[in-house]
Amino acid sequence: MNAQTPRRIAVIGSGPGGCFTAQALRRHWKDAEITIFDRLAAPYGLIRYGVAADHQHTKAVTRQFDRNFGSEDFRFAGNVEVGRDIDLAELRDAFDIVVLATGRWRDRALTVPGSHLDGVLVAGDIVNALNTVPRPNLPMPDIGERVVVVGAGNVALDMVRFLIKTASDYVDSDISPEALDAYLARPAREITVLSRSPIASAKADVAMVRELGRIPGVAFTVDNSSTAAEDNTLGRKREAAFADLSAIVPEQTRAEVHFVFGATPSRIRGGDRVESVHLAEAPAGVPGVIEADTVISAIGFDVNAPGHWHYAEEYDFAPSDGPGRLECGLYRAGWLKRGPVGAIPANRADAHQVAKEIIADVESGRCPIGVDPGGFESLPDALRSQAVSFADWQNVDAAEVANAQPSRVRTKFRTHAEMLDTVAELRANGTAADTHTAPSRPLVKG
Amino acid sequence: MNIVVLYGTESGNSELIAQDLSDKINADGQSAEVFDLQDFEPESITAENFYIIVCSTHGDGELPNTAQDFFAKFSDFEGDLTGVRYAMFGLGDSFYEETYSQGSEHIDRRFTELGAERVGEYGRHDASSWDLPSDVALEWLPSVVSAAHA
Repeated sequence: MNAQTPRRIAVIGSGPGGCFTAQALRRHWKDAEITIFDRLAAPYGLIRYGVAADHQHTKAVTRQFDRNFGSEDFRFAGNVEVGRDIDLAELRDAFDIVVLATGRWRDRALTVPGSHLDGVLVAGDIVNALNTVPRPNLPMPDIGERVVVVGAGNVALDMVRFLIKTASDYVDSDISPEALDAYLARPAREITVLSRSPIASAKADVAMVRELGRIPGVAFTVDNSSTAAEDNTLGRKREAAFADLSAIVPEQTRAEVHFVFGATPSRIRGGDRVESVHLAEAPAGVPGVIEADTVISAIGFDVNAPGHWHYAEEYDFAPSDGPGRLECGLYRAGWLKRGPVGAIPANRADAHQVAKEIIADVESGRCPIGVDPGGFESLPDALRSQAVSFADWQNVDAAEVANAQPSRVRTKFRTHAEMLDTVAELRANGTAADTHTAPSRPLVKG
Repeated sequence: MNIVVLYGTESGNSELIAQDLSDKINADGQSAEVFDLQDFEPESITAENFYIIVCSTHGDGELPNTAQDFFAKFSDFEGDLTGVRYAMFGLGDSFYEETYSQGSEHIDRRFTELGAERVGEYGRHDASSWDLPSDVALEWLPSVVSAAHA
C-alpha cells in the first residue's frame, strides 16, 4: 500500500448517497477500511424510512448494499450520532477521509396565511408515521375527511395513494399497523390535489399516476390549465395517464379525488382548524374556495432547515453540483451536497462523481494521506460497543420479519430504544446472524 | 472467443450483474471484459466478440439515462452487424406491468435490425421478486455461454 492510498474511510449516513459513495470508493481502493455510521440502528436512511411502505420494489436496491456489508466491504456502525456521540473533529482524527451524507429530510412547509392552523400538515410527518421512523417515533397526525394536498410530485402522489387505499391494498408492504389503523378509522372521502404546474410540467412519474387507477372504489376528476406542446412526449404521456384516471367509473365510490393543475393556494381559513383553502389562480370552471378540514403539503424538502448539519456548522452546505470537497479529507455527497432533488439513481450518479473527486484528490497529491489514523478500532471502547453492527442489524431485521402481520412483509420496531433492546438481547443470546447468506428480505409471494 | 459485457444502469444493479458475469466467465477460464454503455461506441462491435447486454428499464419503459447516449448513436449507426451474436439480460419491475422490462428491448431491436443474431434465452430480472439480481443472471449465464459456442 503506497502513501497515496487511504487506509480508513468514514461515511456518515447510510442512505443511498452514503452507500453508493462507499461502493465507488471500495471499487477503487480494495484494501481501505470503510465504516458507514448512522444515527439510527437500521441502515439505508430514506430507502427504509422515506420510500413508501407499499413500494417495496423500490427498496430492493438495498440488496446490493446488504451484499457489500455482508462481505465486509463496509462496516456498519449504527446508533452513532456525529455531533452527539462523537465530534466530527474526533472522527476525522481517526479516519483519512470522512464523507458526510446525512441528507436533507425536513419538509418545506407552506407559508401562505393560515398555514399555522390545526390540520395543516407536512407530508413528511405522515410518511414518517407510515414508515415507523423510530427516533423519535411520532403518532400519525389527525387527518379529516376533506383533504387538500398541495403539490403534484411523487411524494404528493404517495400521499394521494395512501389517502385512498384500504387495508387490503397493502399486501406485501411493511406499513405501520398503528398509523394505518389510526387513519382508516375515518378515512378521507374527498381529496383535492393542487398543482402549481400544468400536467405537462408536473413532476409526477407516469407510472405512479397509473398506479392510482388500480385502486378500486375511487372516482377521479382532472382540471388542467394548459396542455402539453406536441413535442413534449413525456408531458403528453402524463396527460394521457390522467385522462385514463378520469375515465374510471367505480362500481361503488368510497372516495373522490380532484386533481387541479395550474392552481396555487393563496390562504387557508378557519377558526382553530382548517375550514377552507382559497386559490390565487385556478383553471376555468374550478371554484376559488375549497371546503377542507385538512391540508397536506408535499412541496419538497427544506434546503436550509436547521439540524441537517448541526455537527459541522462551520461549513457551507448550500446545494452544489460542483465539487463535494469541503476541505482535504472532508467531503459531502447525496442530498447534503446537491440539495433534496432527484431519486435513488440521481444520487448514485452524484456519489460516483464525489468518489472520483476524492480519488483524484488523493492520487494527484492534492490531498495527501498521512500516517495510519487507526480507523474504527481506534475509537473509544464505549462508542464501539454502542455501535450497532451489521450482524446486529440482521438480527433486528429477522425479528421484524418474524413479527410481520398476515400478508405484510415485516413489522418495524417502533422506537429506537426497542431496536437497541433487541440488539442487546440477541447479543446476550449469542444468536449472531449469518452475515454472508441471510437475505434481509422475506418473500411473501413466491 | 472474447465476451464483451455491456451494461446500462440507473441504480447500479446492471453494473453489478455485468461485473459478476464477467468475473464468472474469467474464473471459468474464458475471457470477458465489461463496458458501461456510456463509454462504448457502436463502431467497435465486431463478429469476433460475443456480446452480453445487461440493461435496466427507466421511467415509462425507457432506457436508463446512462444508456441513452449510446442508443442515440446506435440508432444512427448503419453498419452491417451480420455475423454478430449477442445475448440480452433485461431488468425491470413487474409492479409496472405495462412497461415491464422494456428498457433493454430497445437495444435488442436495434441489434436485430442491423442483422445481428440473439442467442439463448432472453434473461430477465424482476425487482418486485426481491431475487438477488446477480443470482438470477448467474443462473442464466451457462446456457447463454454454451449457445455462444454452438
